[in-house]
Amino acid sequence: MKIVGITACPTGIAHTYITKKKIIEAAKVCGYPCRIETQGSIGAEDELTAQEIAEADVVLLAVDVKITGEERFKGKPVVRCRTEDVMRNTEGFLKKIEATLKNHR
Amino acid sequence: MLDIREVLMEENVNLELEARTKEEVFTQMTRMLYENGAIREEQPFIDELVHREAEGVTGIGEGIAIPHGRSAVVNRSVIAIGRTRADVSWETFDDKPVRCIIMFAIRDVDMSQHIMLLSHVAQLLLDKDVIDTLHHAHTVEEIVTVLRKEESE
Repeated sequence: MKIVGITACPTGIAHTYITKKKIIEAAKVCGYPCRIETQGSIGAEDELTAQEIAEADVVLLAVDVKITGEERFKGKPVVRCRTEDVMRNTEGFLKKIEATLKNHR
Repeated sequence: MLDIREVLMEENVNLELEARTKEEVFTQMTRMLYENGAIREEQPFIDELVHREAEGVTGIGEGIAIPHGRSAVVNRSVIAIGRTRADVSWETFDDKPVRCIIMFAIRDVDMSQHIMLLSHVAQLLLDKDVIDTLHHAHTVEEIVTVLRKEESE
């Protein structure tokens, strides 16, 4: 399962980046290729490319606030949640997404 | 990148905080930031901390919490560290009580490298060596050293 995603939190200083790191580390353990864009207080970093989005199996939006550029994901399976939903049990969260995707195929 | 010392000053670290509740942690650490000139008023900053708590969990696990406040009363974006003698009840991701508080004071309008450094430090708080050092360090120097080491890796 190829993942692309965005993290964003109210202050844009801490949770945005911690959540990104947690997702990337958990994806590595699970063997999922993964790219995460952050939308923090200093703006978007590691922005996703059109190609990365096209190749992804799922878009994970771990966001507590409004984000920009969501139209890029039109037609893709999108999982939207709060940063803390991912922080609690990141590997479990990713595996659950994979299971859900399989059921929908 | 800037050195960690740009945002983490010795005077903003208290490894023997007497606080027993989250409210006491906020009051005592805010007092420390005020006395050292990082903020120019206490109550508005405490209000921001409380406001941010209401928006989501800041207890990131392993006994560490990262309350943060963005406020116009902040003179300079910095990190304060407080370690309590007693467990502090806090909403956390792993339901463990908190002993070490990494507080971020963020200037209202700040697009500087200090902000990038704060974000970077936040990520380091998932690292096992960093967590161990925060809980057991006897000096600020030990904490600075481990944060620098992880930073360069």
